[in-house]
Amino acid sequence: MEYAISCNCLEEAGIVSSTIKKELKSRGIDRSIIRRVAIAAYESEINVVIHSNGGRASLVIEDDYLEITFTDEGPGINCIESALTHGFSTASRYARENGFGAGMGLPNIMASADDFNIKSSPEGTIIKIGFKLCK
Amino acid sequence: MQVKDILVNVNFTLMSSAKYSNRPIRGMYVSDLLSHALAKAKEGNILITVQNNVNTLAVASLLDLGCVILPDNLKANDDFINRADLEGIPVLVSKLNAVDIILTLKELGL
Repeated sequence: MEYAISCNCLEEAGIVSSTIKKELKSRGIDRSIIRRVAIAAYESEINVVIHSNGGRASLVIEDDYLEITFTDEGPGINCIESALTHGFSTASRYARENGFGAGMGLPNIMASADDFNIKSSPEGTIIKIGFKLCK
Repeated sequence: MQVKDILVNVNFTLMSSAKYSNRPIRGMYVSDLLSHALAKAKEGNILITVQNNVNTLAVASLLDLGCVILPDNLKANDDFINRADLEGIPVLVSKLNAVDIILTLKELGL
């Protein structure tokens, strides 16, 4: 399953996360796991919206494991180490005025996902988040 | 407790559809930073926030929050209300500030 994510369109943010949540609910996945997936997926979606030139999310569920990959079209993250630090932010005023961009996104994602991987270059950023779907 | 139980107080006005006013509520959370609310608010919580944009409703829906209360008579525009009804999240507006909303909700037994 693959979903497009538009840049700078906060009004549409949440569609991908909501779809994933519904899919997990329909499979009877534990609520505490769905909560962690929803938090990480929404923060990742918001990151693509507010920091990139647009991108997409793809979803694979296999053997009780969920992997979501967020791929964007740049401009990339200058210093990943800083970006992973709670409170560090390069977000626009638009993002901040809408309740985001306080440097909590990536830390929230890392705290919620069982597995986390990030790669970035000026061509784009790829974030993979994984979840064990059994308690 | 349900959303309709706090609507008996004159300080709260339901702005969205009454269809969801029997939604259960349990506890509350206050934040204007949606990333913070996303990480900390719990299922059933009332979210008190000045963020009257549709992302608040995306967060409320993802976390299965009980309802959203906008303090200080903040406006809930049509987009906000339509999204609230779409997600099934009741939206209330109060003339009280966030602190007085919390005190009032405590008095109501929340």
